[in-house]
Amino acid sequence: MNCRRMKKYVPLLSGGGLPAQKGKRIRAHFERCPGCGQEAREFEAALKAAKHLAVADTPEDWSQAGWRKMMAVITSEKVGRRKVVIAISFKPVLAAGLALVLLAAGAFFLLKKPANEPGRPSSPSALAAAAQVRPEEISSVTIVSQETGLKIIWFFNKDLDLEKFGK
Amino acid sequence: MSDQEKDLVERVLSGDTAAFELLIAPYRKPLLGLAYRMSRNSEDAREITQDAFLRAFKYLRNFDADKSFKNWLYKILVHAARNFQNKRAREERVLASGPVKEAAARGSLGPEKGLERRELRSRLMDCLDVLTPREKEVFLLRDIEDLTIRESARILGCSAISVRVHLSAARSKIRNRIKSRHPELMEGNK
Repeated sequence: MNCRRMKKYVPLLSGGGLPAQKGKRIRAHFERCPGCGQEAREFEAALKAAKHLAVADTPEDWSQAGWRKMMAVITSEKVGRRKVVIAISFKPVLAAGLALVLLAAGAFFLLKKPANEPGRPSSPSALAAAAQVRPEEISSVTIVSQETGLKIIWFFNKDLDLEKFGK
Repeated sequence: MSDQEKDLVERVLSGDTAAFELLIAPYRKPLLGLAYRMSRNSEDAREITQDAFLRAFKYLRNFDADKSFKNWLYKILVHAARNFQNKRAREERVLASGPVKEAAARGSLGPEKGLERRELRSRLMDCLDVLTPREKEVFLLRDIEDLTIRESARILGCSAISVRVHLSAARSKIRNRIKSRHPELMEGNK
């Protein structure tokens, strides 16, 4: 452990607040590095001084009569009833609702069949009828997107040229 | 929570209000001390502590007997002190525009006597002045009241990591302040 990292840990080590294992490693560093050891001692001295100041300066307590009076005021109050709290956490409910909406939207788009454009033939036989050729002369390749369900159909004539359909 | 405390809580809840005094008696001075260090004034400290005891009495039924009664009281006190300070800050903002400002400031100093005590107090307050409110709370709970980091975190309603971060910053600031302004205090404690 180097001195730069040590600076981070010294304040916590001095008054307690670090795991024992880490404390051991830091103390081992102090043996090798007098500068860090000196800093740790300064921290300890400063904390002791602050504690000494705090303990020495005590507030004025209630007088016996004042304390009795205060207790009488406090105990004249009613002890409140236990609050019955129906703990509905809105976060999980909202998250579940959102997940449900997303799921429904996803299912809708996945299962929805793309509507054929009116006037466009979607099968070789329909195209053959439209182009006034025999169905055997037309072949097709269909590509369906797994993600969006989009369907693209390519029609070829007997020379394997892309067939223009319609008029 | 000790069996004796559990018994006293049961007694208070069943209507024996005198048991409440016995229940809070061990915490009277520590809570008053913490309130004093947070508020810097004996009168305010008594007011804050009274408010904390009143809340503890009113909400005793909500206290979970499996948890520490001491930590519960500390938590109530820290909240009461925060509320008090917010209220005081609002009042001071209003008073700051009027002629009563000086009188209010005098009143908030409190009637403490004795030069030595005032000196001690001013040194402590000078050290605590450099801290942010959260650093001050963490420092007072961990280093002055000797609570653990986990207890401090529960009382303040934050994580142990947050307590460590604020504690580290608070100790660094206190050390720098004592070193620069009150080095004689460190000499005596080395």
